[in-house]
Amino acid sequence: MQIETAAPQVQDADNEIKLDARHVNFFYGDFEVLHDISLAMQARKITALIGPSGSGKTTFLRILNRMYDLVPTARATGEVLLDGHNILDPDTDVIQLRRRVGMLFQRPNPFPKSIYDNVAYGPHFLGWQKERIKEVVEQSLKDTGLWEEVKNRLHKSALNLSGGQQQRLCLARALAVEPDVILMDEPASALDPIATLRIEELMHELKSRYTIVIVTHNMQQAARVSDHTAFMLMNTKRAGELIEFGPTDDIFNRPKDSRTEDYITGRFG
Amino acid sequence: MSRLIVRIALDRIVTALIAIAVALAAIPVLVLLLFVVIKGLPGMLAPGFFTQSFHPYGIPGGGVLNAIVGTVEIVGIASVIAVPVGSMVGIFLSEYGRNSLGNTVRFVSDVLTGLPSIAFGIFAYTILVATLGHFSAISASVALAVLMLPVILRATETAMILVPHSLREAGLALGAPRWRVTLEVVVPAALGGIVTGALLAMARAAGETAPLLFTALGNDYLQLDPLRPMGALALTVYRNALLPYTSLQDQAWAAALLLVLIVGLTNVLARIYVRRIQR
Repeated sequence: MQIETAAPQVQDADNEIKLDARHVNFFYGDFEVLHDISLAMQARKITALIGPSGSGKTTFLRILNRMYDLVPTARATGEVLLDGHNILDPDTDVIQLRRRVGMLFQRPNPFPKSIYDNVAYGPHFLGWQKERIKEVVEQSLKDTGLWEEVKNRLHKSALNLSGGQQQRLCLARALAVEPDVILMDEPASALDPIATLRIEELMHELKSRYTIVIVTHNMQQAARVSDHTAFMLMNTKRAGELIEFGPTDDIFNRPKDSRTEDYITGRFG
Repeated sequence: MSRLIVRIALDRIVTALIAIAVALAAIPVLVLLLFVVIKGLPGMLAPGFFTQSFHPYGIPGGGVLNAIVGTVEIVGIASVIAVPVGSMVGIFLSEYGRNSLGNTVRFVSDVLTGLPSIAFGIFAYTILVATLGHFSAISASVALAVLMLPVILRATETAMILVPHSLREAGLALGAPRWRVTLEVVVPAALGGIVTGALLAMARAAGETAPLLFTALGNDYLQLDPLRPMGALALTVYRNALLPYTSLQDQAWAAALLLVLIVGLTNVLARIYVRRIQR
């Protein structure tokens, strides 16, 4: 099962490719974790990665901002083009890359600082002017719908916010450095249904400006929010593979691969 | 039914055994504390205990002001040396120390922890007292600083490791360089533990006697020059307790009580401080 990347099966009026993974393999030491993944993620669209545990969704997501650099034995081969530049190239400035490719994690992880300082952290180390930081903090909090809720307690600890508010704060913190792409690693898995809905609404609002790649265990969520869906599965050698990729509607209603259909209909996983 | 009775009985027996074990551990501590309080309180309430320096037997009054000031100064200088070095090495160990260099530092630090405290005194005697040609407070500070180092370093490393990995990832994912994430995110989150470790190390150093014997030597007069011999509370306890005069023995008990109070108070303050930061 090989999907050609050069010609994505998705045909949209506006099909600019933001992130293009080509034949990506990923290893921990000698152990192959991802096998030959090719996946083109379109600009200002939401791409969802679904699949059972161990299929390598999160691992793949963490290649896109080189978070795997933290693990000494980790190694990726192939190419991932961000606007045409290969981010797997050893010369890539990881710090610059992560400024352009933000990330939202599985559990809200605000810094044990004030609400304001959380959002201002990125702009602060970028050395922006105080006034500009103030504006960007306010704008980011407005973009995530938090401004009205926290504007009177900006200098109180972020840890007193609810889980859903914390996750939106983390999103505001990521938006403050003005990225192009936002990676989301099961962003709602630790949240209640109402907070989850808020995050999903935000994704809809944000996709006019950002390219979003989301990993989710929740198939309904993928179906609700995403434009394109990639289905991943562990192969016989325990490495994650891409089984099928296409418009979300096709993956959920007209899957081409029987394994996709089995997973979608709940026969396993 | 009978099984239930056996289970309840067993539960009570084990609970009782644990209670006895707790009492066995707690009783010596409480007795010791009580003993020091009863024996030390009269000496502490004697006029001049806090305000006068040592008076020889037969001269009325007399206190431990020289020793209080000495302990504060010796431990203070030791902390100025040990706290920055120890916490920086601890930060190194937790963030960059998963290699043979880190393991070597950890091993050396563990060996230092196990060393008898008099060895630190010999060390400072050799490098400072012998070379300078006279006893001095600063040599005692160096001995105590080396003694404090492993405590501070391990406490810092532990506090840093306890900071969730997700916070480091959050900082790095924003594009912050690693050193900035370490200093601006992880260290502030670990500050409570680092400060507690430093305070406990200071409390332990204040109670040490052996490293002071042939470094600070002791001094019956109040003086502040770190290059000259200086008194310390632990030395007062050690010296006065061996004298045959009850009034000076009472002073030794009182000095011991004062040390216990200082150490206890430091512990309480450390806990209050940590609780406040964590909120």
